[in-house]
This record gives sequence, C-alpha cells and structure tokens, in this order.
Amino acid sequence: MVSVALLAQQIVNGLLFGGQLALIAVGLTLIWGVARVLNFGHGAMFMVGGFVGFFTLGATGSLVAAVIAAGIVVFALGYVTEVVLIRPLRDREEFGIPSMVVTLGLAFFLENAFIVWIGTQRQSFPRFTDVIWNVAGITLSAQRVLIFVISLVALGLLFVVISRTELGLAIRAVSQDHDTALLMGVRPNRVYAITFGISAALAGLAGVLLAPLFAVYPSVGWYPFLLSFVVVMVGGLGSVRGTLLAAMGLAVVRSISIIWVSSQMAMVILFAIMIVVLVAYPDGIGGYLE
Amino acid sequence: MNLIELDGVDAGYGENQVLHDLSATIAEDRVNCVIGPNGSGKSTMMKSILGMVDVWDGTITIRGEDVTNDHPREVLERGVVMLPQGGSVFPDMTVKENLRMGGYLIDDDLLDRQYEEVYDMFPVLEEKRAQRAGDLSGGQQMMVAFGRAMMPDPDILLLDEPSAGLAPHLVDDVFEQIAALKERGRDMLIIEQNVRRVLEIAEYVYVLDQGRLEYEGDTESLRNEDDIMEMYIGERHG
Amino acid sequence: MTVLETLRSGIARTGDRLVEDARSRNGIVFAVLALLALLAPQLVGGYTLDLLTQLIIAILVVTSWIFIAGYFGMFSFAHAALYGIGAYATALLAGKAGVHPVLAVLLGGVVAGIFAIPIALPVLRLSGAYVGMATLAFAEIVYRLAIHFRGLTGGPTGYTGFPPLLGGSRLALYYFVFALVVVLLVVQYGLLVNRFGLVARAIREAPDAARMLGNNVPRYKLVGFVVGSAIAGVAGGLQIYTVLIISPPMIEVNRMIEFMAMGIIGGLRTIGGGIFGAVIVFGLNEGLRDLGELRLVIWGAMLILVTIYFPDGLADSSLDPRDRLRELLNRE
Ligand SMILES: Nc1ncnc2c1ncn2[C@@H]1O[C@H](COP(=O)(O)OP(=O)(O)O)[C@@H](O)[C@H]1O
Ligand SMILES: [Mg+2]
Repeated sequence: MVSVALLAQQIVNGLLFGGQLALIAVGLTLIWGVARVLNFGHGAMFMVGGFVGFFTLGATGSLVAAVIAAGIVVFALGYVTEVVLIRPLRDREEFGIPSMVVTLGLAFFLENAFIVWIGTQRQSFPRFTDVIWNVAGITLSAQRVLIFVISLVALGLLFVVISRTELGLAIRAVSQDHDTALLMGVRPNRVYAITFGISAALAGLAGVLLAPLFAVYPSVGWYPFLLSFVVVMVGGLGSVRGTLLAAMGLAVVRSISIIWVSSQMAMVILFAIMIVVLVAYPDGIGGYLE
Repeated sequence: MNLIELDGVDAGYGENQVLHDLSATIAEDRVNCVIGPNGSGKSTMMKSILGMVDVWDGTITIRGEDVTNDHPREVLERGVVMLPQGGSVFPDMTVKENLRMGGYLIDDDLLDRQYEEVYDMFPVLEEKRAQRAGDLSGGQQMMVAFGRAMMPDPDILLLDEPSAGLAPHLVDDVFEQIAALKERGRDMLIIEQNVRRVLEIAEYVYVLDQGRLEYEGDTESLRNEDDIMEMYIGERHG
Repeated sequence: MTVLETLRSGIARTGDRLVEDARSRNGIVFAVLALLALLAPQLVGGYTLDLLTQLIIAILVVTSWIFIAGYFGMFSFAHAALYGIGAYATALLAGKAGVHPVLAVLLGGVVAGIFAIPIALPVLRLSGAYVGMATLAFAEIVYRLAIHFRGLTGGPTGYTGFPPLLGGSRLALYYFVFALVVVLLVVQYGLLVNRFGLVARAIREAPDAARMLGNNVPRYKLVGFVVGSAIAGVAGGLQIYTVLIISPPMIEVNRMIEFMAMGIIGGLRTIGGGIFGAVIVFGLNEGLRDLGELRLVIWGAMLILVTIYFPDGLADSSLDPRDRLRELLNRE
C-alpha cells in the first residue's frame, strides 16, 4: 500500500512539474493553432535556450541575464526558422507533412551541430536556490516552486499579449482566417514569424529554467519535446486551455505512476493515453470542452 | 479624377488564368456595379484590385498611383476597402474586436469616433459588442462585416455579393443599407447576382464574362443595349 | 475474372512496366547498380561486403516505408519500430524457439505485420500530420517496451543468443539478402504498377473521390500498411544476421529519422526514389564516418534543403541546374 503522504507528495511534485510542462507545451500548441506547423524542432529550441543561458551565465554570472538572453536568442532563431524553412512551403498543397519534415531536419541539424561544436557531455547548471520547505509533511524545493511561479507568470504574460494587445489581435485574426486578416491590412507573414519566435522563446525560456534539473547537453530537448507533444495531443492541438489542463493532468499521472513503475514505463502510459485520446477525440480534451 | 483604373490586367490562380486583358476605369463620385455569370471573374477582379490575387500582366492604379501586386495594406491605406463574399467575420472574436480589426490600420484616436459611427449605423452591434461574432445570426454577422468595412471610413467600398445567402427580408435590409450609403455620398463598387435590385442603385455598370469586359457604361445606356440586357440580365427593353 | 487470371494479367503488366521503366534514365542507373551488386563479392569482401549487405537491407526498409508513406500518404513514424519488431521476433524465434533462421526471417515479417494491425487502426481514422503523431507514440512505446522486458529482449544491451544464418558465411548471407530483397522489391513494384497502386495514389491525392468510385478505402489502407510493415519486419530479421545483435538503438527514433531522410531525399513518389535515397544517405554515412556527427549535420541539412527545393526528391527531379533555376524563379 502506498502511504497517503507519498501520494500527496507525488501529486504536489506532479503539479509543479505540470507548470513547467505547460510552459514548453503551450508554444507547441500556439504555433500549430496559428500556423498549422507541428514543430519537431521545439525540443531543439529548448536545448538552444539552455546553452545560451549556460554561456550567458558563465560570461556574466547573472541568472536574469541568462534568462533574458535565452529568450531573445531563441526568439530570433524561431523567427528565422519560420522565414527560411516554413515560408517557402506555405503555398504547397500539402503543408502539414513537409513542415513537419523540415522542423525534424532542423532538430537533427541543431542537435548534431552542437555535438560537433561542444560534445555530448552534460554541462551542469547551478541551482537557483537550495532552500527546502516542509509543509504539512510535504517537501517543497524552493527552486521548483520558483520555476513553477516563473512559468505561470510567463504563461500569464502570453495570455495578456494574445487577448489584450494589437499583436495578439493580429495573431488571432490570422489563425482564424488568413485571407480576411490580409484584407484588414494585417501582414500574415510577419505574424507567422513573430508567433514562431514567441513559441520558440517560450521553449528557450523553459530550457534555461529547467537547466538545473535537466542539465544542458545537445540531446536534452528530445524528452521535454516528447512530453509536451503528448500534452498538446491530449489537450487538443491549438487549444491553449486544453494544453494547460493536459499538462497538469498528465504531469500528475506521470508522477503518481512512477511510485510503481520506471520512468520509461510512465512514458509508455502517457503515450498510450495519447493514442486513446487521439482516436476517441481527435481534437483533444480542449476540443471536447468547447 | 479616376479613382481606380485597371489596364490590360491578366490575373489568375496558379496556372489557371481568370482575367483576360481586363481594362476598366472606376471614376469618383458614383456607385458602380459588376455583373456577370457565375465564375466569370467578378470576385477575382475585386481581389486583384486589393492585391489578393497575382496580377500576371497589366497595371492597376489608384488615383494614378501604381498598386499592382502591392500588399493589401497599401491599397487599404489609399482608401479602398473590400467586404468579401459571405462577410467572413472572425468567428472567435467579439463583435467589437471584429470592428477593431476593420480599423486595424487607422490611428487610435480615430478609433473611438469610428466605433460611434458604426454603432449609429447598426445600433444592434453596440448592444452585442461583447458577444462572440460566430454566435450571431446570419443577418447580424452581415452587419458586423459591413460595420467592419466602414471602420476605416473608406473612400470607396468594394462589396462582393453582399446579399448572397441571406433570407429575403435581410436582402431588403442590405439594399436599404447600400441605398443609405449612397445617400451619404459613399462611392461603391458592388458585385451582385441580384441584378434588378442593384441596377436600381448603381449609376454605372460593368459586365464581365469569362474574365473579359463585355460592356461598360452608365445604367441608363445599358437599358438600351438589347443584346446585353437579354444575355446577362434576362430582360428585353420594354 | 478468376484469381489466377487477375494474377496473370497483373504479372504481365508488371513485366511490361518493368521493361518500360528499365529504359528510362533511372532505369538504366538501377540496372547498372544491380549488376554491380551482383558482381560486388568479386570486388570487395570482409567489412565492406557487410556494409553492402546492410545497404541492401536499408533499401528494403526505405522502399517499404515509401510504399506506406509515399503511395498512400500515411506518414508513419512507426516503421523503424516495426522493423525492430521483425528483428526481435526473428532473433527470439531462432534463438529461443529453435526455428530455422530462414523461416525465422519470414516469420519476423509475419509478426511485424500482425503488430501493424493495432497501429493501423488509429492511422485509418486520422490524416496528414496526425498520422505522424499517432505512429510516433507507438514507436516510442515499442522502444520503451523493448528496454523494459529485459527477460525477453535482453533490455538495453540487447540479445545475441541466436544462431547465424546459412552457417555464418558472409558471401552466402550477401546473396541471400540480395535475392530476397530483389524479390520483395519486385513484389512491391508489381503491386504499385497495378490497380492496387492506382487506388493507393487516388487515396493519397483525393480520398473522397477514391471512396466515391467504390473503393473500400480503409481496407486498402490497412492492407497497404500491413504489407509495408511486414516487409520492414523481414528487413529487420535480415539485419540482425549481419550485425549479429538486436538491441534498442536499432529501433529508436533516430533510425526512423534516418530511413525517413533516405526516402525523402531520394523521393517518396517511386520505389526508385527509395533506392536512390538509401544509396545517398547510406553512402554519406559510411563515406564520411571519420567526420563523426558532422555527417549527421550534413544530412539533416540535406533533409531540409531537399524538402524545400526538391519536393519530389532527387531521383525524380531534373538535376540540371538550369531547370532548377527556372522552377525557383517561377515559384517567386
Ligand atoms: N482561390 C481560387 N483558386 C483557384 N481558382 C479559383 C479561386 N477562386 C476562384 N477561382 C476560379 O476562378 C474563376 C473565377 O472565379 P470568381 O472570380 O470567384 O468568379 P465570380 O466571382 O464571377 O463568380 C472560377 O473558374 C473559379 O473556379
Ligand atoms: Mg464571386
């Protein structure tokens, strides 16, 4: 029998992890919702963010600078990726598969380019803080709580940008009806590129924030990509609300199941859930909610 | 002065040419209409003015300035606004956000005045401003689309079959609205299948067939063109 | 028409098309390649011959993926996993159940075909990128289960306890692989130039029209998916006899990306594209082995460039730079 305390601990851990997962997954869902691209390079953006943060930290000693630099550099990487790799495909009859293939190629390219450049060894990233709290028998690492809070703030900011700003209005217009947005004077190409940049920047930000937990190395992005991939499928590609919900739910499922099974088998469970949802509700739980 | 001028325009989609050497002059201070069979290229003509389809050859100018294949933005900034077929409101935006999209290019201090203007024209939009546009009835969505097109206070409004697909009483509303706009001196270019009604309002007519201009002239002289009247309008001069 | 007559006319048509295609530019190239492959053991031996064996197996994997992804448009990420299932099945049947190695290879194909059925079910209901997503999930599950059930599979370090094929003769293995692959290539080719291939293309290009013409679209897709997967399973079985081990890295997603790159770089629209792509990518991988990961950087870049500039792959595009330039300019 599992003790209640352990269960409670794992639920809390799961929720904290869910916030981080949401930060990665929301970028994936955003770029699908707006531009219909399934970005297989999302994990590579995470990885690049981690490295930029790592180097910036080394050069400046400032964590804040590391986070900001990662956000900016990866935004630029995302923007350029859209312009150079995705835009030439947009007029194709079939867009979904070639766009998936070029981002997959990009992920492969970046991962191996970093291996050639830096090597495969893990660079450890300093912890933000070592404080541990104990609340009602549940251990809380201040670092995880901090990461969770920053993730929520970033997601909140994203929400404000999308719902309250002129840029957000243009993003929503393009995602709902590209041609009509064009007729209103919106420049959809620019909107796609900026959205791709924002989506990538969120992954890059997550790459630094999670660096103390995941370390920094060229293939670090693949696992968070797979996790967020499951999250957006279950949540419904393009549905931000569904993605947030699925991130929390699946992270809790994962952390409860690793009480009994290995983390590999926990992934098997998550993938199985994803397939069931994909068959039963192709639009995910987000589509089901609406 | 000529507001919009098409000169020898060839245009189409991919390999498929739709407009063939189309030349037409749209003068200021009048209401124009484009009629012609389905698939004759009326919408394509309008979209080519806006920069929404590729112009392969020829030029399009607005007040003498070349806008051929320019971004729709450039065209909008010259006071030419199009209301697409079916309205195409943004379904997941509120009514007010839809209007805001219509005013996407105008200055913020102008926005409030334009909201008032549009709400005056369609009071029901003010009432429903916070509702999701996709939840409105077909007639109300048409008002949103109309209002959205009026937001930038266009010099000329291009309407692509504004009455298509609407219930008969709503068709009446649309033509009343168009008449009211004409009353207030708004220039328009209207594509319509409902030829009889649009000819009651329009002062100048273009007849398109298979991407070619078959006739242009003022409405009165059209009524004396028996062939055209019979072929495209299904009426004989009485 | 009786089954026999259908078969006879199908074979006749396959022969006619083969003669016709053999006269084309690519046909001549492939004929020369096949001839070289037949003579290869006279020219090279040892490790190089093993590499050639592996290349021929890779050709089988890629063409069978093209069969599914290129013809039907079911962009599967599960192909390397099914290849792995065939490999594990062959190894275990030969190693633990004492099945004759040659029979084990064929049974490996059957097992992969059976495993393909549950994967096909979501694939039949989904389209476009969603097929990729669902099959990627399956592939990840298979990979993890292969590591998890260590009692059966040997876990992360793999399994080697199976006897060699044909007494372990390198040369015999080479010709066996060559013969089996040629047979399976001709089978795929035959299916694709006949009615089956026409329907497959119709399903990819216009699924609704294919349905309205009275074709049982789900059944065709299911058969296509299972046949292609079974062929991958056979390839997996052959592969273990050249490397003498089966382990999880053989089926991880990087392998899938490699097969995919071969198919896309060569061209997804013909079996020939798969052969071409396998030769290019495999050749690049081996020829540039000294460059380490840099070669992966190179073909990652190739995957991108080919997708953007040669949407039909290198085998089926004109490689004349003037043609490429013209096409690029037209697109602008
Ligand atoms: N987006 C498009 N892509 C390809 N062909 C189109 C497109 N829109 C219209 N067409 C073709 O162009 C021709 C003219 O269409 P259109 O201008 O919409 O005619 P109208 O508005 O007079 O009914 C038709 O043959 C139609 O099939
Ligand atoms: Mg039309």
